[in-house]
Amino acid sequence: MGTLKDKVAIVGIGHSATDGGSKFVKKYSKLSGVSDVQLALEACKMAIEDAGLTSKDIDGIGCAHALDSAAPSHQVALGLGVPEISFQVDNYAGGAGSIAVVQMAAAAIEAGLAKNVVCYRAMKTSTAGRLTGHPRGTSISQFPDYHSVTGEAEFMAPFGLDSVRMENAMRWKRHMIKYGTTSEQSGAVAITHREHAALNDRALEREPITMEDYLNSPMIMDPVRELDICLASDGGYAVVLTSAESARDMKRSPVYIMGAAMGGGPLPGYASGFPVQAPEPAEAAAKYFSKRLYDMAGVGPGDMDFAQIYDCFTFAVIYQLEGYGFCKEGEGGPFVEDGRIGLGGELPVNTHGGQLSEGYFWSMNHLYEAVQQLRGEAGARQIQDAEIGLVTGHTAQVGSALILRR
Amino acid sequence: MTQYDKPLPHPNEETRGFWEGCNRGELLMQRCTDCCTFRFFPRPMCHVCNSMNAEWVKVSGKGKVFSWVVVRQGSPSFAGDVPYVVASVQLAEQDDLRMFGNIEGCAPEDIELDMPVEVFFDEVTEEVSLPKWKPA
Ligand SMILES: [Zn+2]
Repeated sequence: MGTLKDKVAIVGIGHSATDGGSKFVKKYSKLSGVSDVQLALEACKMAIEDAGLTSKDIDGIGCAHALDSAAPSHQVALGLGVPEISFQVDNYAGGAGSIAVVQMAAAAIEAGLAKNVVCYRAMKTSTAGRLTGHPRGTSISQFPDYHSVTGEAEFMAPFGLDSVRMENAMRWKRHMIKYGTTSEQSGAVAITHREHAALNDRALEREPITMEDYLNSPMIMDPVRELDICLASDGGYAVVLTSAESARDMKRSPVYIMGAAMGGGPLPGYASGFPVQAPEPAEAAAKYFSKRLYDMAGVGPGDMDFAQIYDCFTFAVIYQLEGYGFCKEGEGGPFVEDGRIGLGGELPVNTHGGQLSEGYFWSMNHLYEAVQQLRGEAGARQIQDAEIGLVTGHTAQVGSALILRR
Repeated sequence: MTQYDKPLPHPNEETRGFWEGCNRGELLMQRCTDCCTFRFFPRPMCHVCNSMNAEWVKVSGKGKVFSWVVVRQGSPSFAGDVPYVVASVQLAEQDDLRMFGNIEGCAPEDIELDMPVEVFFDEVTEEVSLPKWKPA
C-alpha cells in the first residue's frame, strides 16, 4: 500500500484578515460586508504570497462547502487568475470536509496530478442561512423550502429538529449518561479555548470566562448551553501544498504531512450528524480510522506536541480525545480537566481558541495554527519546540485528520 | 383556525407510504422482503443485503427513549412551543431501528433514558398527521 508520509508539505498559509482583523466580523450582529468569494480570495492570496509563489504557479484548487456558505472553486480560481487547473475538488461535506480536501490535494500531488495546490474554506456564518432564534450554530429554518421538507428532513424538521445542534445534543446526552461526563467538563473545554483566544489577535472572542459564566450561559437545548456552541463568523483560511521535493527550494520552511486518514463508523447517516441506525451515536468516528492515521505517520498519540481538534461543540473535543486515543473511551471528560488541554498542559488543544473562540472555519484555522506552531511563529501561544501535531475535521460520525511535522 | 406555520413533510416516492400510514393512524416501517431487515428513514435499498424489494409493515408503535434534548431556544416557528422535547426513539422491532419525534404528555424533566414510550398521531393539518410519542 502506498503512503503519503513525508511526500507533501504545506508551504504557505493565509487568512482573510490580511490587515489585522478588519475583514472579520467582531460581533455576530455585524456583517463582514464582503462576499464569501472575496473572503476566500483574500485567504488564498495571502497563502500563495506566504509560499513565495504567485497565482500563476498554482495548478490545483480545492475547498469544502455545504448548503450554507460556499465560495466554489471555479469562482476562486477565476478570481485568482489561475492559468490552468490540473486538479480541482469541491467537497460537498460537513465539518470533516476541509481536512479531507487537504488530503485529496496531497494525494493528487503525490500522484503527479498537480504541483502547487491551494486549499481553502471561506464561510459567512453570521449571515448565510444559519441563524435561528440564536446566533450560534446551524439551522435549516431559514432555507427557502423550510416549510415543505422532502427526504430525510421530513423526519426531522416537522418535530422542531431543525438544527444539527439538536442531534449533537442528543449524542452528548448519551455520553453524559453512559460515562458520567459532566457540564463542568464541557465547561472546562470552553474556558480553556477562551484562555487561548486571549493570546490570539485573530480571535473573535477574547474575554476570559469562568466556570460560573459557563454554567450561567443560556441553556439552548438542554444539556447544551450557548458557550458549548462554536461561533458564527465571517472569514476564510487557506493553505498551499507542494511536493516535499519542491518545498525544499521554497521561501518558508516546510511543514510535512506525516499521516492522513479519514473515515467513519458503520451507517454514518446524514452528513451533518443525524445518527441514523448508528450503533452508538456518542462515539467519535475517529476510533474507526485513527489506527490508520498513526500507522502511516509511524507515531502515536503520546508523540503529539499539540492537537488542534475540530470543535463545533465543546463536547466534540471530548469525543475526539477518546477517538484519537489520548484517553480511553468514556474518559474524555476527566481528561479535559485540571489544565491538561491548556498551554503548558499535557496536551495543548486548540491553541488559537478553536471554533469556540477564534471563529468557525471548518478547522482550516486549526490547520493554520498548527503550521504556525510548527514554524515557531505562534507568538505568546508558542509551544516550546513543537515538532509534531494533530489537526482534525469532524462531522459527528465522519472524521478526517492530519499529522504534521516540522 | 390559525395557519399552521411549522415545517410539513412534502413526501416523495420513497416516503409517501410512511405518511399515508400516519394518516390512517398506523406507524409503518419499511422492511426488506429478502432479509427482513427494517430500515428508517425510507430509502430504496436494504443496507444489509442490498435488495431493492421492500414492503411497508405496521409496527407496534412501542419503543424506548434512546436519547433526547429539551429545546429551550427554538426556531421562530417553534418559539411558542419551548420548552419542547425532541427524542430519538428506539423502536421495539429492531435494535438499531430509531426515529426522531416529540415526546408529549409528561414533563421534560421526567424523561429518562430507556423510558418506554408509545406512538400517537397528531393531526396537525387536514392532510398531515405527525407521529409523536407519549409515556407508555
Ligand atoms: Zn435485505
